[in-house]
Amino acid sequence: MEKIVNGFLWLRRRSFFRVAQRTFMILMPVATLGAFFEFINSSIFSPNSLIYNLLNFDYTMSDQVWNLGDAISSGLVSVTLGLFGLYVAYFSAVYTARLYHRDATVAGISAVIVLTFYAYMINADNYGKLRNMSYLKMLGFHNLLFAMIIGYLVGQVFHFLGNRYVHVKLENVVAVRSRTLNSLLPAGISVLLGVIFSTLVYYFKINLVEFNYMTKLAEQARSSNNVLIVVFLTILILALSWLGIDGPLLALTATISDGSAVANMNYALRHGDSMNLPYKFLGSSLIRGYGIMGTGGVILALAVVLLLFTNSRQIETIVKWNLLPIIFNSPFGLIIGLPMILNPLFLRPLIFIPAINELLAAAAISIKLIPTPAYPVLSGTPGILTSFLGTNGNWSSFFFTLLLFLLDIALLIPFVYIGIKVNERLKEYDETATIF
Amino acid sequence: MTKLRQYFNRHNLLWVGVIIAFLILLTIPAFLWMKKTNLERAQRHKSLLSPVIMVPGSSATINRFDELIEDLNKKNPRPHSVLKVQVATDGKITYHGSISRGDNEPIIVIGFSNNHDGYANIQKQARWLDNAFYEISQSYKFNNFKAFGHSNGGLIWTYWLEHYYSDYKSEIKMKRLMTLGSPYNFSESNINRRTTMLSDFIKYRKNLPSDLTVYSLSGGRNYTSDGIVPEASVEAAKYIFQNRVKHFTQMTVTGSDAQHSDLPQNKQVEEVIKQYLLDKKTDKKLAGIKHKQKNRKENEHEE
Repeated sequence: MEKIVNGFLWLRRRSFFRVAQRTFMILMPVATLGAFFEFINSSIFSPNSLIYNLLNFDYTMSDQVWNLGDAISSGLVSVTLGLFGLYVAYFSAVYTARLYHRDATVAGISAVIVLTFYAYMINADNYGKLRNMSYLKMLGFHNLLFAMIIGYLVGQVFHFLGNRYVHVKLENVVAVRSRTLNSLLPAGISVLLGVIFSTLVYYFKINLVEFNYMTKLAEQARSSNNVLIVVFLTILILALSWLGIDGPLLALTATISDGSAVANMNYALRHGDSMNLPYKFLGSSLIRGYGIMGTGGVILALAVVLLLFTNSRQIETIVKWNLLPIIFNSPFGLIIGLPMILNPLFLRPLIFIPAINELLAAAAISIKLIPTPAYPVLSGTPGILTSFLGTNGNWSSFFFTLLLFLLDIALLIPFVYIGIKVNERLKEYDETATIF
Repeated sequence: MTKLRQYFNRHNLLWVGVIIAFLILLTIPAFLWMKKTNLERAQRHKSLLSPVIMVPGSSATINRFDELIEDLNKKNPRPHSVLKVQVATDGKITYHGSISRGDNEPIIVIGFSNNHDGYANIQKQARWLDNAFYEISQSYKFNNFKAFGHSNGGLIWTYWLEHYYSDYKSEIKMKRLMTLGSPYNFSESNINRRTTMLSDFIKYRKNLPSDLTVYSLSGGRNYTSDGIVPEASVEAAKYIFQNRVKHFTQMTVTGSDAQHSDLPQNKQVEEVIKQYLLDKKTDKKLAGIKHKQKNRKENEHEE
């Protein structure tokens, strides 16, 4: 135990991780706000959602209210989660520069310029340019790792080329001017490097983060009927998600159905239940039903553990604020708030617990203890209920999922305990630092 | 483990309780709702019902197709039962006749109290058609149907396809559409002068289902028209359907009874309906083999 705690402490002190932690910490309110409105948008103002259908909003909600609610909620999601990468690049540069006592604000703006220029360049050939979806995708929360690295590198340019700078509370015009002139060199160099890099990417058509390729990975996992492939790809995709590359996970848990899922559903509709399906171990059913449990099931287990075992009031508050979105499959607030992304502590539970869930579920399916989910499940269905509703209300499936959930809680407790220990040690090292 | 116990937050047990209570509270209505929807889904999925839904043209009533249906049912061991649906201007729906139990291919005629001509009326009639279609699809759980429209009836179907069909698409499929003397460019015989309606139909053609088969029949009294509708106006349909739906076929019927208003009683039209619009009792196995061969050919073509 002592060794593990020390290991995490060592990792935690590396500059990149320190910057990452601080960046996520300060963006926690933005992520929580985004998660909240994502929950409102996808669970209340979406005709495909559970709450919408249960309360029959088709008839009970007037079109005006619906249009207004939809516009407000999707708008707020766009400016929070939709531009999250931009915020990450800014604060990642700011905290890197601060670490070395450099001018943080100018570093932040430089990082934003570099990221937006890069996003522009990789889509320069497309029509619509700024309105292009993939342009915005580059700035969204799908690829935080890239934004984080750009911010960190810009911060490092300031580290090596910038002058020492101490932030003052109130500056007059002369002070501002001398400050700008002082940062001109590192700012110019980092933008220039960004331009060179983006141009190379544009010229040689290098696709650093090819979304299509990543989505293919998710498609493979969804449509495979081989348990081992499904488990392997789940681990891979969740590891990417831990790194801050969220696209594949999003595609993995999307509510669309591929050919084999439709074949399963047709079989189930004809026979009245989802036992003996043609594709028993179908990836999309295994992952969504039992592995990750919706998109928030495993995160809900973590939230419960954190509520019961923590020595930090702040963590309790973050968890409580995020409970409702997590229950309805919008866990992003907690993922950033702890943070879980780029946090060494959460790598192993995040990737292995869903894998364990899937293996156990596959075993239970093969001995016909539980059926494979095949019926359509509405968006905004709480993670634990996904398998229950997906099997047309099979009770053994319900209790099996409940047991998995309890098992997940038990598996998470040791990690949270290590976290508590690391936090205590960090307090000795740095009064304000925490691992989560 | 004793170390762990010191971090246990008793006061948060209430929060965990709230989560559990909330989930249970949500489970019950979700379970009931799901059972109901899945039952409906299964009923629709298993349904063998595949009605023919007919819409008459302007100035015609729900009795417009009586003669046609009578002829179709002649010498037919399993005659089609007929349900006639009248939609009033306020959207109220009245039913005449009924669908017999065991009849898998009933004919449903949908007519409108306001059966006047003009684009504005066609748009209204499409909305009324949708009202009726929604009610019928709720009471008779079919998963596919065939559409037939005489004159403006074909235009109403086209408008419905472009603006309303998407609501049903995932559950109910329109297999075939047959229009009979439908004036897609109204009385305009010059295709270069497009009416607003035709421009709109072309503008929204991307909403048409790509797996639909469309037959457009026209009558030929002389070389240019069926007496009322110019042939060019019927042919304008190709600007809407061609290269958008799966198959688009045009046919012209001449000889006796080829005048616009006589078309529904025309013997050739009857034959075409039997041949192309109605379902044929084919050997399913054979159909499957054919289907596979067709796929293989298409694959070869791609290579």
